[in-house]
Amino acid sequence: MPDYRDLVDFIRGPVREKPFIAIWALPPNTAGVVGGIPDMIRYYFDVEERIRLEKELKELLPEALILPGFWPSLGVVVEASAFGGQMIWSRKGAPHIFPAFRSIRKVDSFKMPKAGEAGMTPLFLTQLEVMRRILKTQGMDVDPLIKSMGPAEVCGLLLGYENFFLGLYDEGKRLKSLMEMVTQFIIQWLHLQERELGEPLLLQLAEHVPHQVSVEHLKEFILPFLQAIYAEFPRQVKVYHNEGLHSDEHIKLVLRFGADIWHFGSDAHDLSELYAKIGDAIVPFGGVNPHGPIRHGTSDQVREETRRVLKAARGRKLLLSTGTGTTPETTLENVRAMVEAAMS
Amino acid sequence: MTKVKIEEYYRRWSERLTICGGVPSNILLPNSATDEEFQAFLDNLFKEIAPGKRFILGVADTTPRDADFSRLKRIGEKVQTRGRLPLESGAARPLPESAIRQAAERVAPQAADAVFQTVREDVLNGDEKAIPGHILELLKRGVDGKSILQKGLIAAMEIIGPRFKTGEVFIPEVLLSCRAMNEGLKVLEPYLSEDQKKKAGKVVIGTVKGDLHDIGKNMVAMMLRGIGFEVVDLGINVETEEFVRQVKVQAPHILGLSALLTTTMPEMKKVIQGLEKAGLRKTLKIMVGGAPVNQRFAREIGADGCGHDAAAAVDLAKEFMITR
Repeated sequence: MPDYRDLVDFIRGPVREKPFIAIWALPPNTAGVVGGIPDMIRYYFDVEERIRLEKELKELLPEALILPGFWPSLGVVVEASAFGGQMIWSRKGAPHIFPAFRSIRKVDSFKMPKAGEAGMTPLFLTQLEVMRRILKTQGMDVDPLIKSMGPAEVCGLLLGYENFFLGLYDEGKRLKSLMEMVTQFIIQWLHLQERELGEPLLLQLAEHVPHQVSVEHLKEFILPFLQAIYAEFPRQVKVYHNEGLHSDEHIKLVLRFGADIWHFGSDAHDLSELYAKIGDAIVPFGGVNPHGPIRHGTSDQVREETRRVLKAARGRKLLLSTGTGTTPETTLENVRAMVEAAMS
Repeated sequence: MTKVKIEEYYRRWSERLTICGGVPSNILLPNSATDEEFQAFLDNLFKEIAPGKRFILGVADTTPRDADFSRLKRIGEKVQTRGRLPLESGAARPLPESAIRQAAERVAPQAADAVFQTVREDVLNGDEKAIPGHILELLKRGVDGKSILQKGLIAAMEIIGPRFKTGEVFIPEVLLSCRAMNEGLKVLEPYLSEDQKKKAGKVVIGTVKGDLHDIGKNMVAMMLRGIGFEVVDLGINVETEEFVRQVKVQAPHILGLSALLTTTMPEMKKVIQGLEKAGLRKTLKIMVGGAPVNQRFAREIGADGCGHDAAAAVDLAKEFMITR
């Protein structure tokens, strides 16, 4: 069973013959693999239930690194919740948060919240602590990773994405102030997680905005803030998660973020073409289209696609996975077919 | 092109639709027609196209691997020698001089439509502050509201969609254009007669139950409004029963269902089943959209199509209105 140290070695070491298999396992998307998650609220708030499910997933796919595995999850709302905003929790799906800022002008008088005290952050840290305690009694530990939503994503949640996008033109100065505040908060938040863990090996940022704005806006409003966060954690292997279709010019900027791994949209980018654009500057994470055979097709079709992906990755580094998340309809049988094709 | 006659295209859609095709792929195969027959076909085709409205001459749909490339060359030569607009009208469908002149104006809009250029640029640049003044200026000069709407506002939005599709502009720029368009419409509306306000079609749209995401759905709604559709936006987290009720009340041409989450996609099927049960399914077209939704899923649940992004959804809506 591979662990995070193996992942770090894979990323920092020489190219290997076989890919590293990593499954992006955010619920409820992995429901199909573990036979269903009947109650998502229980999954999010009942630590023991979460450990049980993650353990099951690890046992079902021992050849793969589950990413994240033993780790608290409260969906996309954690960071934004620290700034206010009404949250909605559902038994059937992931949580949602409504914009906390009715107007971007609020940023003029808004005081940066304290990570670990505001919103869901204290609950998250408590869950982390409880999870560690339980796992240690079983000779295990939580995964050595720290994670957050990206700064533009958090700002999008705080303002509403439309206001964020319009703000690029209407309220550039205020938007930068908000990005600055959110970036500082995220850094503080990641350091808190780091303190809890000691020496995390991986840093994940989920940031879905960069490809949705022009290269000029990306350069001015997002790039410096992503760089600041990644640069703050020089020892960790850093992941950029964004499944959107990036133009060639956007990809050039992705390479400047400071991330080591890009969890990319394998339905948006062909792996061979992506390698031609990224070279060895960043390791792609994905390759298998989450909306292709693994979701709808047979195991044989999945094996065929996986073999095609591996051929494209020959002589390169690849974290083989679906890019990005698996969908709830994806069966264990099909995920196993992907893993087996990679192992053979 | 095999299903639509050029004549029918002119009669029904040439004022609002650009068509690409005209040369069926099989005519390029050496054994499908003699050289003489091919030449006769080509001559007749040019007569049918005359005087040349919104028509892009091309092979429909793919040039076959075994095509006789000398025939393609002949098409090119014909375009070179006889392709200047207005094309000569043919005996098959003679047109009066005035129609030929009008068509020539349409294909050279820079002269006739220059007056609308400022308004178009306001929309394209997303200048919501300048557009009301520019519209009022045109109205004062006696330009009619309908022309400003069609040749200024809608014409600009017709440009923005393809630009978004090709990555020339991004979501912020589309939002700016939609906002400018709406500001323009506010000024223009009192100057439009009820008939002129007539919409390109009616769409009911919403994000399905359990899903609270709206950026994609809002983009589609704004872009549809921008090109003249009436849009009833039901918002987010919409129950199946509400979709069915609104379809009954609003009687739209199209229903748009949005979902960002893979976990809420099954709700789309429930809405379609609800419409079937209420006997309303056949009264409208259904398009689905959202990041995880694809054409295959659309087919599986019985939708009529999938708009992969906002621009594609708008194209789909236009197509639905043409083919319904």
